[in-house]
Amino acid sequence: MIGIIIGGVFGVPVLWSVIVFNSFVRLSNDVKNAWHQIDVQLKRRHDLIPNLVEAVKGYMAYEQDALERVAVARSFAMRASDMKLKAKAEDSLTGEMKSLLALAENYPSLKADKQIARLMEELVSTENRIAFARQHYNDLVADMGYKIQSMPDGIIGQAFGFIQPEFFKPEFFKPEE
Amino acid sequence: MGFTFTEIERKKGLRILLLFGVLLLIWLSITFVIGLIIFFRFDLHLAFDKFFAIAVFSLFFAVIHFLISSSRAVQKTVSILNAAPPDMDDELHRQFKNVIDEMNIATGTVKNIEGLVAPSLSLNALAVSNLWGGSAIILTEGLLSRLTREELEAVIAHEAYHIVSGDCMEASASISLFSLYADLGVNLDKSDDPDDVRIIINPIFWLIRFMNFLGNTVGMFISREREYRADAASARITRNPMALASALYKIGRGWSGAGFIGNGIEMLCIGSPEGTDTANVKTGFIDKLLSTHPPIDRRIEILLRMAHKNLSHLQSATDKTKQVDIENPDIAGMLLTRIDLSDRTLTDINCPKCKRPLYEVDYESTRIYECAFCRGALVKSDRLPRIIARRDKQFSARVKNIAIAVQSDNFKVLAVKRRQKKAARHMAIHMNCPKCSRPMMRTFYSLAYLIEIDRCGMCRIDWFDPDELEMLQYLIETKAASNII
Repeated sequence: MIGIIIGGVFGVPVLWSVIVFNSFVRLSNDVKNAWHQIDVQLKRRHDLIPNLVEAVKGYMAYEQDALERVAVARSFAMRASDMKLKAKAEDSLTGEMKSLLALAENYPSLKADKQIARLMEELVSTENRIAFARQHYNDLVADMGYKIQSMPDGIIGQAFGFIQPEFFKPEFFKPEE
Repeated sequence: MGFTFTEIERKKGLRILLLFGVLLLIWLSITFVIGLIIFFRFDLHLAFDKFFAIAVFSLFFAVIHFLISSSRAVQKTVSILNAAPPDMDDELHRQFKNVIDEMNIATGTVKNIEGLVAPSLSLNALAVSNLWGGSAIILTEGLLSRLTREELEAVIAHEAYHIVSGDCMEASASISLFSLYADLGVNLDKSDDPDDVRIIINPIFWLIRFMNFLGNTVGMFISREREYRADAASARITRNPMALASALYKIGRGWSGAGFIGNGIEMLCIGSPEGTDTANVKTGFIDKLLSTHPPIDRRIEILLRMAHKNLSHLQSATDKTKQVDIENPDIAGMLLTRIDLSDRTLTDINCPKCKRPLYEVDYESTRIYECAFCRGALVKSDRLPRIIARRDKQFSARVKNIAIAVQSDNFKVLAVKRRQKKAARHMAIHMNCPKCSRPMMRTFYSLAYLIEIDRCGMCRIDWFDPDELEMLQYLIETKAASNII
C-alpha cells in the first residue's frame, strides 16, 4: 500500500513531465515545419514570376518600369540569406507584384488571354498560400508562447530550454506605438 | 491562445470516444433486449447473470459497426453524389483546386483534404471524413459557378474547419450509424400498401422509426452548434466575414438541393438541402429544435455584425446577369464560324445522324462534341450541370421563341396523357450511340423541362439536335419554363 502511494507521488509527476515535454517537442517541430512551408510557397512565387513577366510583356509595352522593378525585387528576394533581410525582400516583392497586378487592370486585352488569366490565378493563389502559411506559422508561434508562459506547462518548457520563436512580421506595416 | 488546427485535431479524439460510447450503449441495449426475448425467454435474472457475455457481444458489434461506418464515409458520399476530381482544363475548377490547396496550408495540412465537384445545379457544399485519414470537400457545379474567389475561400474554410475539428467524422459516423434505419424508414413510407409490411413486422417498424428519430435528434443537435463554430472559424481564417455572409446569402436564395442528397446526409452540408423556404429560414422554437441547420438569416446576421456591415450591403452586391437580345445576328459572322474550324479538334467519334466525324469544341467552359454539318451536339451527362450553371451564353430571340413553343406544346401533350392515365414519359429509339452502338433512348430531359434528347445510359452521354441544348439552357437558366401553363 505504501509502495503504491510512493509510486503515485513520484510516478505521476514524472509521467506528466514526459507528456508535457513531448507536447513541447511536437509543437516545436510544427513551428519548424510551418516555417519551411513559407519557404516552399515563396519559392513557388519566384518560379511563377518570370513566366508572368514574359507573358504580359507584349501587352504592357509601356510599363517596362514596373516589369523591371518586379524582376529586380525577385532577384533580391532569391539572393537574401539573412532572415530579416529575406522577409524585407519578400515584402518588397509582394508590393511590386500588387502594383503590377493593379496596372494590369488597365489592359482589358490581358484578361482575355487565357494563358495570362491562368498565370494570374496561379499568382493570386500563391500570394494567398504565402499569407496562409505565415498566418499558420504565427498561430503556432503564439501557441508556443502561451505554453511557455503559462503554468504548469511553462515549468517544463523553460527547464528544457524551449523558447518562443519570432513572429513573421510584415516589414512595411509597423503597428502604431 | 492561438487558434491552431493541430491542437483542435488532437482534442477531437475525446469526442470520437464519446460517439463510440453512445454506439456501444445502443448495441448493449439492443443485444440485451434480443437476448432477453430469444435466449433467456424473459428471465431477467438469467439475463443479468449473462451480462458479461452480452457486453462482449455488444462491444464486438459496436466495434465492427463503428469501423465500417467510419472507414468508408468519403467513398460512400462520393458515390452517392457522383462527385469527381476537378477538371484542370476548366478555370473555375482550377481555382477551386487552388483554394483547396490554400486551405490545406492554412490548416497546417493535418488532413490532406481533397477537393471534388458534384455535377448538380444546387448551391451547396459539404465535407466528409474517414476515421483514418481520407477527407474531402465537395462543391456542386451550381455553387462553384456562382461564387467569387473570396466567397469560395470562405466556404472552403468553413468546410475545412468541419474536417479538422472532427465534426465531419462525427457526422459521417452518426449518419452511417443511423442512415441504414433512415433508408429503411423511407422505403416503408414509400410502400403503396399500408397494410402488409407494417402490420406483419410492426415491432421492427417501430424500432426503425425510433432509430430514425434518434439519428435525427442527435444529428440536429450536433449539426446546429457546429455550423456557428465553423462560420466563426471561416471568418477567422480568411479575415473576411463578409465573404462568407455573401456566400450564405446566395445559398439561402438559391436552390440548395432538395433530393440532392439521401436521407441523413443533410447535416454535412453548408446549407440545408431541404430547400430555401424551409430549413434555412426556420425560426420558431420547434422548427429550430428539429432543424439540422441554424437559420441562415441568423448566421448571416452574426457574420455581418463581425464585419460591421448590414444586409443592404449584401443585397446591393448580388450579381445581376444581363440578358442581351441578339435581334440581328451577324450572318457573315455565323458563316465564318461554320467555316473556320481552327478552334476545334477532330475526333474519332461519328455523328449519330450524319455519320461524319464530330469536332471537340469549347462550350460554356467545358468540352462538347459538335457536328459541323447538322450542328447537333454530344455532351457527357455529368457535364450538363456545369453548362447550365455557367451563364455565359446569350440566347437569340429565335431560340427563345422555339424553346417556349416546344415546352408549351409538349406540356399540352403531357397533360392529355395524364388525363388519359397513360405513361408520362415516352421512350422511343431514333439512333444508335456513336460510342457503343447501342440504341439511344429519346426522352424528355426531365418532366419539368420538356426538351427531347437522345440518351445512352451505358456511356452516359446525351445527344442534342440543333438548338436543343440552347433551348434547354434558356428554359432552366431564365426559369422560362415555370411561366408556361
